[in-house]
Amino acid sequence: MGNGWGQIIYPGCVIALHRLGRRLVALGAVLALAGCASPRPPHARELEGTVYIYVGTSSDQLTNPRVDSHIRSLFSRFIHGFRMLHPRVGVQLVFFPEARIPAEVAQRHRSGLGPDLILVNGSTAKVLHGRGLSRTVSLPAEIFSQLKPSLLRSFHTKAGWSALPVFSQPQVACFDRKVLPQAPSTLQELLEVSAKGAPVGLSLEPVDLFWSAGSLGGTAALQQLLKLHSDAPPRPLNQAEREGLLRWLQWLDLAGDQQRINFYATTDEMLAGLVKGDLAWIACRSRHLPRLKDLMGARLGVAPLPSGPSGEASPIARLRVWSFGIDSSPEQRRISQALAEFSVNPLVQRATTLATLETLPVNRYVNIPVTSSRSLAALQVGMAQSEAYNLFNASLLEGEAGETILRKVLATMIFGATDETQASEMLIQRLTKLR
Amino acid sequence: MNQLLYEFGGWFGYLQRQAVLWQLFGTVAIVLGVQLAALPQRRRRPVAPVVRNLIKLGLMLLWAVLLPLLGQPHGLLLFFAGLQAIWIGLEFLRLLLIHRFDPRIVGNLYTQVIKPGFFIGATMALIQKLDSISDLAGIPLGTYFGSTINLGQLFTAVATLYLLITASGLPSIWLAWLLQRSIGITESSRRAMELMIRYVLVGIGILLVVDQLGIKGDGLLAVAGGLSVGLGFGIKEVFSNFISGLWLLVEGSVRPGEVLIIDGDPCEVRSLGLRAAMLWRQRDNADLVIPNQTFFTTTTTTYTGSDTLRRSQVLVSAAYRHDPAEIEELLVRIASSCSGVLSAPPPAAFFLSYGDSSINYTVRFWIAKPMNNLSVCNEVAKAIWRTFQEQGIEIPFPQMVLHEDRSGAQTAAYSSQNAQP
Repeated sequence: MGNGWGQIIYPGCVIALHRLGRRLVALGAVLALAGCASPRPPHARELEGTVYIYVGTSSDQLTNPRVDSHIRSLFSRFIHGFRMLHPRVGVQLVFFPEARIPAEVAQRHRSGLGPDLILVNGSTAKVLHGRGLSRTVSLPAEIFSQLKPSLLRSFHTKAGWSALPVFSQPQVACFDRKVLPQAPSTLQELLEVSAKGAPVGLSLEPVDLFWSAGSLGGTAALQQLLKLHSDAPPRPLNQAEREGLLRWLQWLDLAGDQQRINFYATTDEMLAGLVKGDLAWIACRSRHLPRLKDLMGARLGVAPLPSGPSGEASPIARLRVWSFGIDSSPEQRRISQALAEFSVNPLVQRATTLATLETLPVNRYVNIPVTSSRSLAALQVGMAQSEAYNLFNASLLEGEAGETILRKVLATMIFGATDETQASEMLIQRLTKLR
Repeated sequence: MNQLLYEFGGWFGYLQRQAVLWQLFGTVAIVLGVQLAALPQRRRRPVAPVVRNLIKLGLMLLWAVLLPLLGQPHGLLLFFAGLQAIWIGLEFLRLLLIHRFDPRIVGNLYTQVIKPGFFIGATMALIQKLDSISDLAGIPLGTYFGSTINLGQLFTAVATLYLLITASGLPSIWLAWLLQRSIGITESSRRAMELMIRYVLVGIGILLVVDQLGIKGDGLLAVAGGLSVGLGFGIKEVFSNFISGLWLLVEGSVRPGEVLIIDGDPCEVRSLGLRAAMLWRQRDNADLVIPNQTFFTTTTTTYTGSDTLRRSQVLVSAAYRHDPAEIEELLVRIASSCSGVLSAPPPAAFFLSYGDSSINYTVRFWIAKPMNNLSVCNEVAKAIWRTFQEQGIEIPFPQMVLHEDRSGAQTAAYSSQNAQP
């Protein structure tokens, strides 16, 4: 009798135990060997392993398979290029709505299953880093020197870089060439073309309507109220900012009164209206361009957003950046860093821009062929407008408290329940309470 | 398909991480260790599965407490502990249900719905931890019948059909019961209704699945064309049995609960399946599986067609010296006094024939449950014997007398003498 390992009780059982024991020892040996340091220094070794990349997407991208397949094919090309250099690397892509990324990363981090790389908006990257869900990296001088300092600056921390910009996706105007030979360049022209019969679509989503605030002087107030620059300490609005906000709301109210200017609850509805020919002009995002080109062909025109009496338009561009996960093994960190650096090299940046015609490079040595592509020229202007207001890292995600208040107040005013003065006061009061 | 395999293969990349290995191998070691320690050969008394699972859960939780102290995450371990806890909870639920409901039904529910549901749920939760279910669901598997089918659609279709087939039983029973209560149908009609509701539910499920998969009409027509050829040759019998089963249900001649005579034995119909009917033979407690078309093409004797009454009889003889009228009256009285014999229609006795050594009588009576025929006949026969004994009525039997002549040849002659049994 006895219960010790390997003691003979029944012959069959002993064989089973011996086999199991041998297998466990073999498994242990394999694991031990896997953990041992290679005789070669880590940097000299060929990259080998699997990395997990989370990609933040807009909600419309998850519901629209055409857009989803476009992103997948873009990534597929990019990963294919990287694997030509490092064939032993595997890449797993997981897509989540942008707003869910911090929660998903936090939840998976509790199991040690967090991502190695996260492709998100600059604002989300800041949230991730603020919650301790991403790590800082050090960038080699040759990479650092190639990137646009204005885009990189906001990710600098004492310990290194909290994210690495990859590309930007600005907001532009999309119009139907069959109805409008040329896009309006000012807000006044926009009202005029609508008065002449061209139907115009404006979004009720604050992030897609923000562009109009700059042209009317409302951005300063909104940036203060919505804390779009979280580094700046909150302060009360001055008179000029209040007047700018009121001017913007007045224009929106006026636009709402126009017969051929319609407001839409979602951007998807506006895009569908443009494709069907129900709308002649809308503000669209560069990521929508491939889908619109597919569906509209030569009818699609792309132009910068119109300016106004107070200056240029103020679109919120999406700056897409790499955040670096905190659960990676040393080898996965090496691969992540290599992959992120590969994505910003001039050849890849240029190829991505030319292949998609929807993204702009962050590498300052990449020339954008603006003369041969009106789309890229418009995107470049859109990005410049966003940079001028420092809006490329602004966070105005659907469901955020500030965004919800702004959306509700705008809807109330546009549908006639309040006037612009009341709406302005409501915004100031409610958003100030949030700060 | 390549993308699917690539995704599956990619999950093993997490094994590069020490934090994952701590949790994974901790769980595997606990599970294997407890299983090995509880082997019957290693224990004087066997360890109950519930106790074994509780020990595993306790050790997992202990390891989950220790890991953070070592600076390691423990979410995956807690996840496995959670699954273990749910498994234990389901086991307790099963024991509870067995005490309250029919163990056969609980067993079926547990093995066909709850257990597979648990494993599917656990697998999906694990996949969601490693990957994204919605991403995985979108992986295309190929184009069939003009429609691109992805993994999510295939899974939903299979799960819907499985659930409909296995879990539609209870709703069907409930709906049929409701109908019985509201329009007053018979018990066998209720059972038939139950089956028909189930077929309708499964049929609707198949239509929904076809719609969800986006299979186009011309694709289905092509399948139907192929099937018609198949029906003509290979699966004619299967289809014939299926249609026969439906027809029999509608017609009501063979429904669950009916009593049929198969090879001279009364058998109760237990279920009418897609291919065959299952009958129970009381004589030897055997289950007979009979293809549906057998009932469709051959004569079937049933005692439950128009009503459930069965007329039965016991044959008996009495000596010539007894008055037939008295015997008949006595037989009727005896049959009436037996339990299981209906008073209306009343029993009746008849003078059947003059036999070699006795007059043959029959007593005929009605019973309510056809399956009880043998036991009621047995009771009536024994009561006749007792009463005849008490009243001195002789039940004669033939005797044979052998005569031997001088040459040694034997000749036989039946004696006309009466003998006491």
